[in-house]
Amino acid sequence: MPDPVLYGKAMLSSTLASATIVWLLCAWQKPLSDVRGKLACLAGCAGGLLAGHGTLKLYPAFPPANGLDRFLTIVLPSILAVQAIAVLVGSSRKNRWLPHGFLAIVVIQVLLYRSVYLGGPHSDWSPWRSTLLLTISAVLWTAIWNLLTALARRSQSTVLLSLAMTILGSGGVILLAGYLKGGSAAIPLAASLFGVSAGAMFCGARSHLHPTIHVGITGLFCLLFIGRFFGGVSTNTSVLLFASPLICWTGHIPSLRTLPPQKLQVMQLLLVTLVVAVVLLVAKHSFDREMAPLLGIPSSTT
Amino acid sequence: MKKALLSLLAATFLSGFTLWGANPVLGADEYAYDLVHSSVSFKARHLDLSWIHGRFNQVDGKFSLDRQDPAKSAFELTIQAESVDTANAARDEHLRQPDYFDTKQFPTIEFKSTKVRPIEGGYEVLGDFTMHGQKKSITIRLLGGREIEHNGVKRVGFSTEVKLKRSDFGFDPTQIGLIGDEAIIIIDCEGMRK
Repeated sequence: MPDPVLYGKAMLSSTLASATIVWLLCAWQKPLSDVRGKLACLAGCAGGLLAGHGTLKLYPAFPPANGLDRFLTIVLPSILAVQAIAVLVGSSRKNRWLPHGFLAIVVIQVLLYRSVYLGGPHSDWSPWRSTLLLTISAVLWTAIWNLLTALARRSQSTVLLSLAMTILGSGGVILLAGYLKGGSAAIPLAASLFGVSAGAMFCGARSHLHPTIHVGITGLFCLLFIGRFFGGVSTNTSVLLFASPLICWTGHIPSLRTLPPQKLQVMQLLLVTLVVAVVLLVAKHSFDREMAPLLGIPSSTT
Repeated sequence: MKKALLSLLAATFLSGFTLWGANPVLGADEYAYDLVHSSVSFKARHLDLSWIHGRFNQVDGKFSLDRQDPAKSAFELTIQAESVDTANAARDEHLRQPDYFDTKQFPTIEFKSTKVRPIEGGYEVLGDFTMHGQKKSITIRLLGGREIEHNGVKRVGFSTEVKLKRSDFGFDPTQIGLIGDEAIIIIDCEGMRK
């Protein structure tokens, strides 16, 4: 059964841990170097994830048995490490389509490892169908990743907050689709992004959020991918949620560009929240109709 | 002459090797699982008040019976987890998700015998039971084994009940509560001699 109190505790512990780590690592160094600022945000994100997963008892599984285990045990630590290395070696921002595409294919294969989608004696998925799935997913991920990265060059905190909001909403949708563990895994990630954003705001590190945004995009994609291919989330819902942070591009419509930056940021975040809220409402309606009777919850739609 | 002898020797050796590696062993009767006249069903407690019943609609299997040397008998069963049916489509969909059977990751539930011993009224079968990606050794008491011939086909039937704990097979412990940890699997199967 979903435990709202536990989810609240995980949210709080994760946000506090990540904000505190960012603040501790950044507040005492003025001026803050780019490398230190970015590494502090990544450390905050990692700390928030550890605190949240610890509260929810979502421990790494060895060997990881399913898609969610592989996401928590392999993908999340790897993407944090990759981003930290990229910060240390100072990778160029140009030509990232190819490495992002390659990373997408690898991550998708890891998530689908030994499942019916990648063949096997009990699979009805032909090799060409699996290849098509891998290609479409990788192209979608790479396209949205690059569009969000480009947007983040203009407003990093807006993109990070919109990602955190979408991850939280996606967790709710996965949970309402009947996959409780998958849905609850979104809470530490969303909360740690909120925490990093808050910590960075307090100590003037808002221009160092770029690597954390990459972690957020990867996390959002993986959660929705797991929800779609292992849980009961529909393709339309998954794609809509994954693309919803792109609404922040509306802030760059010529007629809106004249708005004060803070008002513009609030408007962008409100628009993302609106889309996520509508998707959540539809998911709740479906839950009331199909799942609530199974759990003995009186249905509000009948 | 020498060549012919060598060929004969090689053929004898090869046929002997094939028979030694063959499964099932010589002398055993082979049976195919008859899906029409068999069922694999289960029940689990709901809120510790009542039993929820369900079944698996797609099952396959085979077994070989050696009446002279029962230890050489073998039993295999493969259940398609996706075919779970509890007479409620929404619940079936929920059971296919990763919190329960995780059918996209673990499409089958399998049993393969490793040791067979005759008991009164049937066989005691030790074997590997694989569910949710976890393999455990279990012992089942297969009752029956009477053979009859119907419309020219020899048939044999067995029944058994197996008690399992879902927590032993890696099911999410947070999901154990509403539905009890223990599940009872009831297998009634009929085999047709090949």
